[in-house]
Amino acid sequence: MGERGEEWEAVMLRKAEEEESKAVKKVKLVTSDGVTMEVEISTVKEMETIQAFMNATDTDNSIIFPLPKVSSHILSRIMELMSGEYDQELVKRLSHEELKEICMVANYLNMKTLLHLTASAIANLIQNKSVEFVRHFFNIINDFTPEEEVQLRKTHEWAFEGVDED
Amino acid sequence: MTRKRRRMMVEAAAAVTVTAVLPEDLMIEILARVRVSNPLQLRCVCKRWKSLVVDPQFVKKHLQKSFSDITDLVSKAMEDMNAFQLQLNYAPALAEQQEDEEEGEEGEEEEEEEEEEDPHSLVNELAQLDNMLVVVRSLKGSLETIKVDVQAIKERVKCLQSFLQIYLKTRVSSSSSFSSSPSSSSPSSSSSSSSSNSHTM
Repeated sequence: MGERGEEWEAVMLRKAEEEESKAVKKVKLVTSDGVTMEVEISTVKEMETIQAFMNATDTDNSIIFPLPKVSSHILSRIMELMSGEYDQELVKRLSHEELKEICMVANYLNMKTLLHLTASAIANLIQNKSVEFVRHFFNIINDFTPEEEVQLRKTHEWAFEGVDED
Repeated sequence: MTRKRRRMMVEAAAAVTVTAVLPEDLMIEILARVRVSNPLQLRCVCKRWKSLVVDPQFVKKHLQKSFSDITDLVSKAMEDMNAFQLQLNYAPALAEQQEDEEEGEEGEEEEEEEEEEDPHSLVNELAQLDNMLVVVRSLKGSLETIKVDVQAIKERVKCLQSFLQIYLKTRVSSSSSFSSSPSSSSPSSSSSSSSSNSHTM
């Protein structure tokens, strides 16, 4: 009776170990340019959108998650940032386009730390910059008529003091 | 071949998303983090941003940030003021102490060698003046720091004031356009009165 109990315990232990090893299984992320990137489950934990998807679908050990809006270049940049524990220096080295794209992906995948980091970096970039710089940076089309813009600039004239060079 | 083509198409699609405009919720996330002391110039970017900057949600965030910024600036100014006060308290004590020492030394010297009294006191006086100069210089430096602190507070408050003025104006004009009552003439009258005010100034 006691022996059988031990045997049963051993079986349960093995099962638990199997469950655990399952949890360390990797997730395959497929980028917009058709590259499959294998990442640890722990990496995906920060990507709340994927995490929610995984929680919703009772997955087996092979998870493939398509990212049609993310290029492999941007995904590898994100991995660099994550493994570098979101070092500010790494962020500074990103191009404007990379920064914007990473910010969008962070928003899409609901990665809070990365979103805060990139949104702050962009905010730093555009503060005290000219209106033209901001428009260009965000690809915003100026939908004011010339008269409207002149009027608005006049009203906020003093606000343009101390604008940095683009 | 077809694979290559498809890949090229996918790449083209990716390129399109690169130049795509950021979604609005993301814009708000970014705008809320802009540490610009006056966000008014951002109103000139486009119509959406014009209303976004005076959106109550954004204004609330901006006010909170402004208040905490101003509080920080004020506490820094207070710190510098306290440091200056300490310096000021210490400075005359230093001067007096030196005088006392000098007198004491002079006294001793007088007893020992009376002839050498004059050049010695001159050297001492010079040393004292040097010390005073150092003290005055550091006091001046501290005062300059406080001046910079106060200037920063002044600018920050001025920015906040102008922002609030514009915000209130947009509130008034939007509420008057809703009611379309005779009170709609009030913003124009208030603006004319403010312009006449500026004339008298």
